[in-house]
Amino acid sequence: MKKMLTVGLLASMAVSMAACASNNNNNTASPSASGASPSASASASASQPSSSAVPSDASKKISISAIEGTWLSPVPADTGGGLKKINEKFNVEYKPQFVPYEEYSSKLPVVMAAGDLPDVIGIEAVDSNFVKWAKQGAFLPLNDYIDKYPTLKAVPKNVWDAVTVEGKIYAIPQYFPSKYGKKPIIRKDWLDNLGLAMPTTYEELEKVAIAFTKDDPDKNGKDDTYGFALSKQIVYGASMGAAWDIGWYNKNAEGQLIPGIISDGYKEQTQFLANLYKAGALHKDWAVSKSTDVGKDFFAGKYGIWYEQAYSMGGDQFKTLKELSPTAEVVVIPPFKQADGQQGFTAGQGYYIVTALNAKMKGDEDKINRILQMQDYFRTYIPFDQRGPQNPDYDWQNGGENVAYKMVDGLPVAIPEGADERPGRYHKVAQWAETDEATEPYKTYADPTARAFAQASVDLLKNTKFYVDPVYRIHSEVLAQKGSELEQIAKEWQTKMIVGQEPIASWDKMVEEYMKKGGKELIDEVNKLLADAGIQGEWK
Amino acid sequence: MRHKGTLSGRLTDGLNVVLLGLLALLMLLPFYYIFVVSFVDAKEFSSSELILWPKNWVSDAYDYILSSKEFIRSMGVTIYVTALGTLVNLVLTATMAYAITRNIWGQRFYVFLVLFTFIFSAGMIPTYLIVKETGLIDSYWSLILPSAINPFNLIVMRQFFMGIPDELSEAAVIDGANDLQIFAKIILPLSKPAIAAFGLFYAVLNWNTYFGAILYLNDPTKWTVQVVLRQLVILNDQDTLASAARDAALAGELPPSETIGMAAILLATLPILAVYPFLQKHFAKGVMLGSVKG
Repeated sequence: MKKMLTVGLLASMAVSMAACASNNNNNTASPSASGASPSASASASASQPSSSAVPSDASKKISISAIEGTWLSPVPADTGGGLKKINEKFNVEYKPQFVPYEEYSSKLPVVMAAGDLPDVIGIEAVDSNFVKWAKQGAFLPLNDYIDKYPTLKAVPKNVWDAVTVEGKIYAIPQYFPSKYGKKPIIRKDWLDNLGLAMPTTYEELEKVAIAFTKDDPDKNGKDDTYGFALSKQIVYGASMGAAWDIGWYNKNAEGQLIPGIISDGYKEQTQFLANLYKAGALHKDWAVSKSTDVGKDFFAGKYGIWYEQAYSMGGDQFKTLKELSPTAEVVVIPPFKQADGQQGFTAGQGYYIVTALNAKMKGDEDKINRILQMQDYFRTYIPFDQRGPQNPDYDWQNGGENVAYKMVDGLPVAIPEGADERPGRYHKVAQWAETDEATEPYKTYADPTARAFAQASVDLLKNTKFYVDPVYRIHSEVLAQKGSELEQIAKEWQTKMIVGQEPIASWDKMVEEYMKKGGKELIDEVNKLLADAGIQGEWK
Repeated sequence: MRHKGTLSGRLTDGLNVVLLGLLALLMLLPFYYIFVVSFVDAKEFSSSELILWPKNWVSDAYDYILSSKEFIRSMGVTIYVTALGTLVNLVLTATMAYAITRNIWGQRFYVFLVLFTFIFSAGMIPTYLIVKETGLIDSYWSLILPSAINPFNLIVMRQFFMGIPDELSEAAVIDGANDLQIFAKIILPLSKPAIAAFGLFYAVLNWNTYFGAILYLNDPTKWTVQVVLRQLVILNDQDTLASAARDAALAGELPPSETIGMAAILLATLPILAVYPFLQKHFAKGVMLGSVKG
């Protein structure tokens, strides 16, 4: 017996050692509400005939190396047929290197420091590293090239501002809709079951959330629902409009813009969440729950209110929801009317992933233009209805019908075995859509529930106003250095307030600490930079 | 300690067995959970809170993983790196540990060099630069050579060698053996438990090779199983961001999510787990090495 115990213990120890050691990396993935990514890229293609995209000086074969992060699993292997097709079409020797995004933020700085930088560099977001490298001259200024390429010309000014450092454009932003990121969603069928109207104020929202918790909204006779879903770090919060959001919208007594997290709007939101917690409408464990797990529980029918996006969300979760609760109907909660008369959400940054070019290429116009031609070709938008074998570019970029994809009920469906045959897999950029509506997100889902949700979201949001947060358009060093640390301080206070360990009355103490630890400096710098650049927050 | 026969003695024994047994079971619970979830179908997983016994056992997750050539290939890579790496580790550690037990010229200097790396280690970027300048980028040796000798293991092994009575070596010298012969014929055979224990330590380290692979290997076909495993697990644990970034526009049917991660964990742990029972007796002894002596 003793021997067996020893073996057992040792065995479990061995497993833990083997299993745990792969887990010691900080998880750098997963941006918050605004983040998401291009899916369209897999289906990338051009609406013009393909011949026009082929470079005119195509006679010279050019070798192009690239490094980028990827969410793909498995990571594309450089032996695939898709890569060969790119090489033939553009007369290049394209050598992309893919690194999973969880590790990319460690690997890229190392490659940078070692001077090993490839010609084309993909970067997930404009962060302090990007600004630093741009200032150090690692990237090629692209100002002179923009007008030559239609998909670059189409990028709006506020998005170019994000990749502009000291007046020079250092990267190409890749498309992500600014409107169709994560939005508050509610179970419409639950509202109907309880005879409640769509909430338009925080008081109404509170009543709804509590009713969802206590009045058995799913009519299964069990007390098994929560009104409001929240996960640790107050993700995704409860902001029903720009004034309550973490974006820079509100102003202080001196008329300076301040970060949302210390604004009165956010205080109102915190108060609301604290009320819900007290009433039992938040899960007791929210402060330690992962957003992925909470999201899964929402789609398992356990919560009434959560966040989801219409664009590129996968869609499988709605299938699960429908299987578990056949009557489910999910819609976006329209933004609440603010005290200043405005009504609308904060817009996303309008891009996800930027592509920079290595400054060493300066002067090699052939090479620079070849790279930009490839970018332009893959960025060219293909309207949804043309995505199929009838469009030669779509067909080419996706590896050919019945090789890498097949048409099922008018929708292209991937053939997994053919993945490496797709050129779009090796040059993965999102197509730049003229407007957010042009992406027609609702058409991309095969699942009817997901489709209905996306359709309803677009119908609501296309006429909703959006606030363009000016802070993304400047590069504040204080924000880069202290921003997340300060946010952490505020969130710690707020988490305590929501669970009742601190009264909401401590809000001023929180703001005081925030200001003392660098918040004052941050606000001054951001406001100065905005004034210098003549940039203001604006409604669109 | 043990009072055979007396009632209280037997009671204490029984109680110990039960308590320790429960403790051991508690350790096994997470692994049991991983095991069970890897066989659950995705629908059941998303609808239930905690699964202790699946309603129906399905092997979808295993079919998916085993059909992907990445997993099999990376497993091969890991086995190769582990075998070769451990051999290199043991040869270099044992020979150097033995050398610094001898009273040779510069012995203190070499010990100092080793101890220095014990306390100070170069950062990620300098290490990368060395690996790059020595031409090891994209070579499996980049996973093996930078960590060929673990200073802690070296010191403990040296202590072990010093515990072997000098008289044995002296006797061998009288019989005409040189240093190398003494090492191979006297020291090594006497050090089997130490070799086995350190072999195991090194093997586990090599098996878990992860960050090095990401950093030094640009070619994804050379990645180790831990890298692939992490991708399988993380991707399924990502927020919508990740799921959106998969080829969602070409809305392909995605295989069940968590269950794949669990199955992958199990498959990647199994081989190293299988080695343990055979080395266990050495291992238990090896852990104690140097704990008294030195």
